Amino acid sequence: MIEWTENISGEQATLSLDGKITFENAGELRNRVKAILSEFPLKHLTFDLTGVRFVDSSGLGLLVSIKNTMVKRNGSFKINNVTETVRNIMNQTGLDKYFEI
Amino acid sequence: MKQFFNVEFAADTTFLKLATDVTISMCRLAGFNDSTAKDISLAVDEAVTNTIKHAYHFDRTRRVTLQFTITETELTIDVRHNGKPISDTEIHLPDMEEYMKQYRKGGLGIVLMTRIMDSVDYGSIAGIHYCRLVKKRSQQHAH
Repeated sequence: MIEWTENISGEQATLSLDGKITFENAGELRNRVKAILSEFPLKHLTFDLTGVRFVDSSGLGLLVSIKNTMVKRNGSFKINNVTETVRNIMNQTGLDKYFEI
Repeated sequence: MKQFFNVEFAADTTFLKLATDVTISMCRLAGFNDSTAKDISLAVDEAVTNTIKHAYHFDRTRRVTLQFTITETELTIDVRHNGKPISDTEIHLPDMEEYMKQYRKGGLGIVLMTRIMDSVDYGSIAGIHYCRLVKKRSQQHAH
């Protein structure tokens, strides 16, 4: 289960997430990000992962696709406050370097 | 001497946490430290999720079996099912640099499994299909 709060201001948005990002909810999160991007002229999107305890391969794939989407918009996507468990999962795939965490 | 432990459960994601908890316990029994045990449980999470998604298409009436085998030299975890077999030709280990540039759905699960485990193999015996995850034990772990 994943829950999040949204803080959108001008060209910037931060989603603060709480829970696990897995194949069961990655689609829901993906759809919400798509909706935000179509509704607001965002250039900079941030995920605050303070409350995220686990990310599976579907969750990692979601993060990669969001970053690629933001790059195509000439914007940026950052993830902040990565927990040790999630950092370790990202290390396993080399995504820690891709997201500069 | 070999030690075995089997656990069988419905192909329901409700049981994923239980499956990974059992995996962590078995890893500790095999002498792995907490960090490695968590990594191995992640590989099992991916293998069981793949089974539920691709072999059973979320049919909760089907069953998944985890078999843990501890030998002097390694821990072997078989994730077994009798659904649609996953063949080696379907397994593609993506180049991570290309993957990040040209994101496509799927593919990271096998990366995680292969980087965590010493070997990952798929096969079938008498209509039972398996994903076999093997992690070598260091000498001091062997009893």
